[in-house]
Amino acid sequence: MFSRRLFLAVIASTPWLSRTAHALGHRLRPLLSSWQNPDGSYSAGEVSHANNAQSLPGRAHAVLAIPHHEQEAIVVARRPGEYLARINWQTNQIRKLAPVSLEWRLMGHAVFGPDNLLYATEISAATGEGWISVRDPVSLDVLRRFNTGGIGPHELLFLQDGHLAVANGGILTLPETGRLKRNLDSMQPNLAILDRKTGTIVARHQLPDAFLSIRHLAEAEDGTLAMALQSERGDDQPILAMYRQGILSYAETPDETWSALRGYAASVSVYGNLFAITCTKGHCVALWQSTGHYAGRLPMMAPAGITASESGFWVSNESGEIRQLHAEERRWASIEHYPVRWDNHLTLCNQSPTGQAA
Amino acid sequence: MRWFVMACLWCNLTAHAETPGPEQILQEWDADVLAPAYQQLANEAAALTQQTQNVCRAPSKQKLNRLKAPWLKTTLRWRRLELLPAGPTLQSRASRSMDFRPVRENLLLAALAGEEANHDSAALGGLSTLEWILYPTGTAQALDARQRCDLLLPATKQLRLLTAQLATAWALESQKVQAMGQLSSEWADRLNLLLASLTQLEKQLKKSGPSGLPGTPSHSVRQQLLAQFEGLLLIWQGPTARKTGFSRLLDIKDHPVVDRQIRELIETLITQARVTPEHQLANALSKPLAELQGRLEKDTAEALQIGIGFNDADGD
Repeated sequence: MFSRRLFLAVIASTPWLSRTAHALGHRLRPLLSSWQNPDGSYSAGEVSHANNAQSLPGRAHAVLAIPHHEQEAIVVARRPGEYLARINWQTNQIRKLAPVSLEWRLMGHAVFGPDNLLYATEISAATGEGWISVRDPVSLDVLRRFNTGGIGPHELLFLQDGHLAVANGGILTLPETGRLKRNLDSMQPNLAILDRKTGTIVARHQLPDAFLSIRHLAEAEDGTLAMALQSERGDDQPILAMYRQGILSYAETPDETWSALRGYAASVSVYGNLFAITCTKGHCVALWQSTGHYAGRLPMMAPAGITASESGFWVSNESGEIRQLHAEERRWASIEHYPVRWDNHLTLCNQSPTGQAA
Repeated sequence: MRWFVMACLWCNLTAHAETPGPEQILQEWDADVLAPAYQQLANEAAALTQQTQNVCRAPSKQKLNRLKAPWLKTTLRWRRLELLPAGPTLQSRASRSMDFRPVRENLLLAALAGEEANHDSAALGGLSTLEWILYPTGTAQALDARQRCDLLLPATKQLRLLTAQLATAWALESQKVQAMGQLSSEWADRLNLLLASLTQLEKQLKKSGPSGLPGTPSHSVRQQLLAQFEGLLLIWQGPTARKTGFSRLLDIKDHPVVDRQIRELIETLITQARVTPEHQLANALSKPLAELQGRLEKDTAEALQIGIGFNDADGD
């Protein structure tokens, strides 16, 4: 529920914003996301063409541009996901729809490796164990699979040193019971570091609190890895942990702040060495330096997706807004409105709107 | 006047004393509705297993036809329960074993050929697999009666064991309610399970396209849908004489209108499943089914203060 105080704080923080979509022209690169349309159907693609997108077979989660494929992106179904799609993000039309095999379910995220292959998190339908499928980006066929070393894998990320980091959220879900969390009393989340070529687990790191599910990842320029957390035991809990030089620690935060953030990080992104987290339940975007120092928060109603922009971050929310956060000045720089509900993730495409590499 | 006031006070106190809390409703729901229904399922599965053993002593295609009726009875019993795979059903992943879908023909044929099985045993059993064996089409038609019995005997035995375990576990379930630390999460889980099941059902109906329902070899889709919706009404409100489950919980939380709207939607689904021509059934069910999901996801969740958000409550 939005409180009156929060509503006034949001309004007070945005008096100079344009409330039309004219800021769209300021965006130099395409912004990709998935969303729910006003008629309840689901689509994905470039956000400014959201009103003219083809419907997908079900709700999508992450969207990522295909390297070296002009105007093409991969859409990953929301967990327990049953399809991958290759779309043209300029027209937001589906080019290929690939249902996943009955023995597997997608977990909402994928990433391109240095080999230009697609790495997607999955679970085995039989056991619920976490796996990664390595796929051809065009045919979407599975080339090989390897274990993630945990339960409930979600986001994965290639690190600067070439290793693959996987957020094993620790929460067991199974296809026949959808998104129901089956093991909250015994969950064991971990951050797994894998060798992408062999699938070998190089290292596994656990937080002291097993009820904090590691969900999303971002790596700063200085090599610090941020892990966005979701608490399964109350709101007054950390939402950000950091991994630096082999050591895990929670981000530094004033005592009263964790409870205001409500224990739920929806998504994390990084601008240089500044991490930003969308706090959907805390109705704000919270900032930390990669050193772990808390850098404040900006109010926003139910923020969802976030990605780094040329000057800070793009942020979406459930009310159809897309805002630009100016990182240096810690203020909102523009706002657009769309009649959709944005899902939890945004991706800035590394191509110009015409598909040329930027 | 004093007697009148005392009488009113007494009535008021009695009324409060008779109003059960969520814990008692959960206990009654499990004990009075779910446990007996699981016992009936176990009885049907036991009868199916016994008849399978009888028929398979000297099998023939004609004799195998005798198993169709007990298979359908067992299937319909399960359909009445399957939309709420909670408690022991959830813990044992029984839904998957009860009705492993779609049928893995290749695995069944490999098992007949004696090939080493390197897969989950649930794939060789379940009600849909039994249907594939009893109502053979395509590759299954090539199987002789002995081969069918080779598949039927272990599959029905597995079904009997599973349903017996479920009946025993559900009979004990109501006693566990008091020990449950987080009662509210149990109600939330059950609401989420109902929603997940209805979403799955909607998907199946959508797959069938505008012209009809997905065909099954036994041509019993209408009966199965009807059993699902009648079961859903029973699960939602308990026996007509005594309300329980979500229906009762909404009553004590002062949301009888939400309860009534949901019951009316389920009754609409039952009526549509009874009277609509089969080729129009998928279309006829889609609207009330979507509305029912909306009422559960928004109105019921709000009334019971259970958080089901778009982005904020489900771990993405």
